[in-house]
Amino acid sequence: MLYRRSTGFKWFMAFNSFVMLCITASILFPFLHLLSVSLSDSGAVVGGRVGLLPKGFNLEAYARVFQHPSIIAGFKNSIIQTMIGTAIGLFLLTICAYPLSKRALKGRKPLVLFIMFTMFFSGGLIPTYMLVKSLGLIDSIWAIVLPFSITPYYLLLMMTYFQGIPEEIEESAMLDGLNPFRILMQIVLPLSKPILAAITLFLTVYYWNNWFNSMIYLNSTERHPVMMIIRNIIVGSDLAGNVGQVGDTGDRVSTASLKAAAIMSTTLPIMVLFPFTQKYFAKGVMIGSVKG
Amino acid sequence: MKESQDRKKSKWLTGGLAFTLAMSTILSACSSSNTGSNTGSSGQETGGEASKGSAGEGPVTISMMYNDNPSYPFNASWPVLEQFQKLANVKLNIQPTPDADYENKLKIVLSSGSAPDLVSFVPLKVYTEFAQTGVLLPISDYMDKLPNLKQKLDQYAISDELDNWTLKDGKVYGVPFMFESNMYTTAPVIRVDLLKKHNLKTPTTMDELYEVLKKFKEADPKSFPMANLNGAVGLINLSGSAWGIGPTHNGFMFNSDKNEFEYSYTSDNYKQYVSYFSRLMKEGLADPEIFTSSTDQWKQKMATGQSVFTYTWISELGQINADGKKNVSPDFELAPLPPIAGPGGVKGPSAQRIISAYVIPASAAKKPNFDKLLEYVNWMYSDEAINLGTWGIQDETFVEIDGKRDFTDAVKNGGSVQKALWNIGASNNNLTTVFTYDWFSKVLNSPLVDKLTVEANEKGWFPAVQKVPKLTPADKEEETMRTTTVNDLFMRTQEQFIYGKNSVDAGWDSYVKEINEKGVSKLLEIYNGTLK
Repeated sequence: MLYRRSTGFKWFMAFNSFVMLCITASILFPFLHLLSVSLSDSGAVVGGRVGLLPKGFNLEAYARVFQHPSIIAGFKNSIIQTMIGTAIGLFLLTICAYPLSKRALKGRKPLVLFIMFTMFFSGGLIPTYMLVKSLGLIDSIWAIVLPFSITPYYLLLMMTYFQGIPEEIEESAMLDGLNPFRILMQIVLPLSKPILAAITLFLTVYYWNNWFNSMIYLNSTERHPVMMIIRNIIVGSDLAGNVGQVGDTGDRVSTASLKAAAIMSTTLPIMVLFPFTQKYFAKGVMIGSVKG
Repeated sequence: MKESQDRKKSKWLTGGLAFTLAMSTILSACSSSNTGSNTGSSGQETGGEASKGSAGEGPVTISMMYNDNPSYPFNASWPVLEQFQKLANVKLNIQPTPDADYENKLKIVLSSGSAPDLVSFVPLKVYTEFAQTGVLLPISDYMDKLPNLKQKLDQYAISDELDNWTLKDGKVYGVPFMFESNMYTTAPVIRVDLLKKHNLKTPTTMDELYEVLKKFKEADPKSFPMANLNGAVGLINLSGSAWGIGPTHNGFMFNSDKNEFEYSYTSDNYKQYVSYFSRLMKEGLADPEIFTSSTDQWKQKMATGQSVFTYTWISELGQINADGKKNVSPDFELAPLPPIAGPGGVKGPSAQRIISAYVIPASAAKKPNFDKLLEYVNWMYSDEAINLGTWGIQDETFVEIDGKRDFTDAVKNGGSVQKALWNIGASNNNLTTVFTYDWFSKVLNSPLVDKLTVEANEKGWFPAVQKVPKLTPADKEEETMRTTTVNDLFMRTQEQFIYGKNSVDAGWDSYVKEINEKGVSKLLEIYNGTLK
């Protein structure tokens, strides 16, 4: 123990833990509530009697979500989009960030500025759509993973990280006869595991959650990712009357339960990733903040 | 140290290798499956085109943008969809787009000129915006090829509504998705069990409603007797005509006596409207979340008895009543009332029989399948197609005896007629073009609605169709610009008035002055200019 545990310190620790508990609870409770809503009986949900524990336990809302004709294909598409998108993104970011992290590179500054420019100004939705269309990518997965594979912000994170690796290591590797590509593969990347893990996580979450690009660029249901389907369940017309239809009067699953079940079944897969990558994640977001 | 580093390195390398291998397998698997499905569909498409060459044998492909409603998620194997393609001899290449983002995608697809052959469910707002620009096909030019449509339009005498879809050039750029006749489907609804319990008379005027709500509040001081759904716009849509401030086009009503447009939301009637609701709010008779409740929150308020009066779709009552019986009491019963009379008289909600339109992009006229496309559109208005799209499949879901149609017992006893229809692809806003009266009434299956509808037609509860001014493209642009400002101001002050942040008496004159300056005067000038 480096410091004595004074009474003041104990109080501080107790207070600290209390505040932390409150914050944790404020994050956890809505989540638990949603979980129990998804598992509860329609009457109890509509009656507002569901708290942190389900009332009238049933799995009907989940059954309804998984009865959706495209949901299984949706999960498959999401996984494919996420894996391909992350792999391509990671690859392109690495081979783009590494040379740009070298101060000796001629024209480095204009290049970086050129890339950073896109952080603040974009072509707009319709021009981007026309571009993707003229490249013939509409209604294919490449429209989702190619145009958005390099995110300037992640590129800057990686560049900063690569710059932090002492040049002497690379110089000695060069003396030992390695070419730049092997230096990247055998020296730099093994030293950059935290940033690679962090970017992987960022990209995975991005591709898993992204429905907008799929909505714009994909036309066939068999290619739609699960998030797009879930979003429609949650945000689409929840009142048939609004669109000139008659509601389903005999429905036993309340829309609130259905929405909760839809949210739970898509959030859980991505949430289980966090505990495994958390240590890298914490490091990843701090990259660039400490110099020297 | 060095050794452990080496080991780490080799571990990393193996890991990397495994990762790369896994990735490449997935990539190749995916690309192969992609090409698989691509060749599949393109094969069929070429098949279609080839047959087009050989004198129209075999189905022609028609691509169609489809509004995917979460209540009946798109399913390519719906029997009705299969029948549609078989009977019309087409192959529908459907592009389902989530309802949640339909308008967004619609605008992108139309403005980038990449719309499919047929686009369903285009609301009036988007329609007028794009019809002006020339990206849509002027379908009225092809009426000679659409005899079924013409026949239905004449039969339903729908020219008033259709006039709003006619542009200044006199052309119509879409085909309507319409109701055969008006039905009394939205109404003020009240807890009749409580009326009986407290021995109260059913309210017929706004003043009586106030008294009844007050009694309810006295009986249960914790409650907020009136709730509302779909925000301020929802309330005005459903109750506005009784107040004489609806139906409107962006707040503008056509006064047929004076033959000019007037702005509703600066009228005396509107002043009474906000005063009324600000009084309800002040005395705790209206839900404080009256303009912000989501559908789920609103359902909860109604089903727990926190609120006992609202305006809504009568078809929503079944579920709320079932939940209410579980939560409140076995007597729980929300029931629809005839319109509650306000300064505008006994008027029900606005009656628009045309809900949306199917549009065809102008570019489709040059495609080889254009004749077949028109043929298909015409077929959609045939009795065969309408029957299929609404009633489903003959002798499976419905029977026709002596010209009277009814659902089969299996459908009627299956719990929910609507669900049974959705499950086979019928009752679908993207496949059908007409909801006939007898069909809608059988689906609703509410004798009360039938009775109220008859009464509504006899007593003239349905307000006249709101006239939409026909604008030139330049005026349209000006309108879009001004309307945003005017609507923002209108919504903001409405809230301030009703929540009592601004007193109606004190703030009224400056509100009228400001909104006139912000654009109402200019808009009136534009709108009335179209009448000359």
